[in-house]
Amino acid sequence: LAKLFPPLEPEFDLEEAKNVLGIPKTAPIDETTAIVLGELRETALKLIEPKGIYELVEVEVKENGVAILTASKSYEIASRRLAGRLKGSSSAYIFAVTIGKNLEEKVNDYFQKGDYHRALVLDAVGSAFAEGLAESAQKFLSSLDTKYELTPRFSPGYGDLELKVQEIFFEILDPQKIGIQLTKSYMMLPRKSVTAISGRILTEKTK
Amino acid sequence: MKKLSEFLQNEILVLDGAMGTNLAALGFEGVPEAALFEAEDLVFSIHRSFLEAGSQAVETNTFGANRIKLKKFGLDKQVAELNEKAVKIARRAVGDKAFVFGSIGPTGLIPEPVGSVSFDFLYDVFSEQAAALARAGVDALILETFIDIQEARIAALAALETTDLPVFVTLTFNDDLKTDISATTPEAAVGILEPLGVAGVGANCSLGPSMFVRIVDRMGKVAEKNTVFQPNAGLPEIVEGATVYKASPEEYREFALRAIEAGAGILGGCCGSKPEHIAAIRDAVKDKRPLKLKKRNYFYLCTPSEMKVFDLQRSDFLVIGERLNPTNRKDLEEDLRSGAFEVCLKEAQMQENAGAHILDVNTSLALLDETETLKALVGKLAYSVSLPLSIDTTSRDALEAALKIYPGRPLINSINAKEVSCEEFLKLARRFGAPFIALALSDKGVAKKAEEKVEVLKTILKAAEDKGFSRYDLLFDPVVLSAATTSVKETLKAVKELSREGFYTVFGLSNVSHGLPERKYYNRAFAVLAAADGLSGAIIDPLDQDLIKLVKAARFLVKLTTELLETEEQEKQDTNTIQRSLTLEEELYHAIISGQKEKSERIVADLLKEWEPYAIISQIISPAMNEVGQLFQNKKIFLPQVLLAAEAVKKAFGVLRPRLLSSGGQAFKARVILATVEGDVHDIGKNIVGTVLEASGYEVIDLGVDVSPVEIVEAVERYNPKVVGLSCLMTTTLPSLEKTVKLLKSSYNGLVVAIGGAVVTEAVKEAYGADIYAKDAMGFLEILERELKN
Repeated sequence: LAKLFPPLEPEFDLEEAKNVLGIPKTAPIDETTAIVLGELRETALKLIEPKGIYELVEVEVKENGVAILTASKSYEIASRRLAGRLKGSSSAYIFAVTIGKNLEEKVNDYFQKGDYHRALVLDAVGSAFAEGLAESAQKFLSSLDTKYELTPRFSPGYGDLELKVQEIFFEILDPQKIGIQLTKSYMMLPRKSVTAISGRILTEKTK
Repeated sequence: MKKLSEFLQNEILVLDGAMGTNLAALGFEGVPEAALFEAEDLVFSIHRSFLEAGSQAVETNTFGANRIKLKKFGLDKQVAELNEKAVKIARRAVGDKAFVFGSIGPTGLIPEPVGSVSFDFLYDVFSEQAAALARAGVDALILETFIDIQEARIAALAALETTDLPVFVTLTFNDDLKTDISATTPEAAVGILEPLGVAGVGANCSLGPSMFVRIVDRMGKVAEKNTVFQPNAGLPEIVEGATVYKASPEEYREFALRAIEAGAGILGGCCGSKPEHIAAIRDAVKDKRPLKLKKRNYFYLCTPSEMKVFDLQRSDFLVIGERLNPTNRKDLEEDLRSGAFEVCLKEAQMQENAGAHILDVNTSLALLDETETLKALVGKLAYSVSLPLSIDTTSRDALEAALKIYPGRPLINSINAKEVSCEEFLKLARRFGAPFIALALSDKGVAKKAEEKVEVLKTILKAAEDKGFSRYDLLFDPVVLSAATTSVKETLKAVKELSREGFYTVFGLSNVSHGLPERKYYNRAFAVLAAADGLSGAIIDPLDQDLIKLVKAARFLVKLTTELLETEEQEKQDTNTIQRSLTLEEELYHAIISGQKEKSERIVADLLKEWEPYAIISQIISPAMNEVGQLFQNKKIFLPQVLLAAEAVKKAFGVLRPRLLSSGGQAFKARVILATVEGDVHDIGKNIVGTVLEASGYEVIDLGVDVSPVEIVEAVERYNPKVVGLSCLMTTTLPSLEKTVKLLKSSYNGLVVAIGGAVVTEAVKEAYGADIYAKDAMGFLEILERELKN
């Protein structure tokens, strides 16, 4: 059965925030936006409720995809990119995290009131915390067993990994327990949620 | 009649209106120049009618009478004859009651570096026409409707050097307020052309008089000589098969009053303007005197597109990037010898990204034709970087070739006091209006003592001032030699002395460490010392960010102890002057662009006391949002700033809307329904589109996210919108987008269906049969405005 993460402190992924704001990596954030961003980051910390759930599964990496084996069932996933990412792993963590729905509601409030700029910036802050939470989650997982290193995480919707794979992740994790729903079109609600898979590779020393 | 120069000092000169439009109106078909032979009477009577309407100068019917344009009609051997004939007709029509201006238009050819036609070839073409007009006795030449700054430069130089006449130049700007080919701004046009010696720069044709106001204001802020404007009578519209122009004489009258306030000295009309328009201008200018414009008291350079002003008195430390120099750089050397210039371009880009202000370009290598290489590289860099260039050469010919091909106002590096070169180089600098670095080098060699350095530099300044340069056109280089062999104290002393006297100082920094170990530390230390003594800039490696930060810190510390208070005071005064000189309209324009909500709301309320709500929207808010769109497209600002601007506009509309309604007008441009399609709950993108549309005067009905096709159809029934915008962010919800689009298109004729979102493309639009696709909100707005116009 999938396990809940202990309380996690999300990191803040500024690159992700800039990405949502449409500001290129090399460009600076304008002064007004930078000030509002700092302020809303504080606001966000009061709004977010970080939660997460994870499961360790066995994987079999093939040329064109990956098989995932749980105690009860096996799943075939076709994705060359995922196979590439998990190369060398015989097990992997699948996990889901969310910062909850309060922040999104606040974003809507701002939009309703005509505070478009704040709405956009808070949305970006939310994305930055959601990505940052996934990062913290991954760090926690990699601390669980030092014999292994974790491969960079990969999520449904990246490259050739279809969104439909969310169904499999949801079946394995049952993240409804932490309040994440999956819509018919495979979107997660709250939107500021992340699912991912990360392979385990034996470290050089251990080998 | 007075002499033209005297007249212009005391009065606003009213030019005539359109020749072509009026020939057509009188039934003449064909190129206007042909009328000189075939319908002399018509040309005569048009001149006459403008004279009677109040024109104090008429333009000869010679806009296309150059060798290149005439060749198309087999008349290229008759350039002189045609131009002389045109002058005679004009003179006969106006007698001594008005001046005759010789009109010269572009050739239609595109010169290097954008095109392939050489400077010298075009120079000959323009010289030929200018000479013919001068021989026939015109009072001035007016070069008009140029859209490439390079062709305008060449024409101006040819006209100035072939005749003794005053030469005026006007360019044509598009609705981004840039010229089409070289993307030259109004400021750059003035900054590049005035120093060549022309009598006035301006704009013609382009947009109608109401949009012209922005060009007039921007030119007026930088011009030293009174500006010249001849607007179109609005944009041409086709009514029942005929081209008509809609600007009224009253609009011309208002425009003229505004233009005079902004420094215009000559006013007339262009396409579509008739005698009644000219009469309106004449009425407006009576008793008005041309504004006395200030001399430019700052150092500036121009790229082909933009004017770059450097405030060397205070804030800016001029970083002149030194990396385009093949000395000790094998890769650059090979790149220059091969003529590929790939390494050069990369170096240029890197320096620009690192924050350089100017790029120094040096191509001097043994056994390499420097003239050809420098010319080719300068031509290549002109439009590849957005920084102005510094032409670094000791070869007179290479310098001339580079100055010819660079379509801007570059810096010359450098001119020294040696007898053989000083005069020659100064002549070139004068001819092309280029500022330069003066080098403390004379026939006695490099000046060693500080006093000698200052003396040599002042000799060069004197010679330059005799040629018409101002002190703001010179950067003083006291010369740095290696600290291993000479004491650098004298250089520092010279910097201190020169900056105390208010001169700008720069030098090539890295010489100082020649022959020393770990050179960068010596470079940095010396830069800090010199910065503390007031150095204005240096030729350095912009990639050494530590160096630049150290210099900035040093300058800050020095200011902190001696000048900061004074500087702050000065800055306060400057801001005050700026605020005083801004009109309420300009303030609103800036408030919107910088996203100041409360200010926008307040100013609109004030403006409404005198302005019609429609005029505020069409003349201030829409142009401001256009500029926001431009800035966004050019990546000068990003999404957050667009939304700030949109919020400001929304506030403004909040004040305007009740007035729009009470005056019986429409409160909105059109009604738009927005929705994210079924199965998709992303709303940020859709909300941004809604925000931008609202800010542009549309009524937006937002149905929210996850909206089924049936719900959307119900909303269309209920609200009867002009446009439905659908957002779709995921491949999994594309089918629902398709279903919605097809349902809407099959049910409603004339309904505009727009789609967007991360997974939507032009191909998706085609496949589903939607009308509009755009990749972002600003793009959507642009297409929508165009679509609704049709």
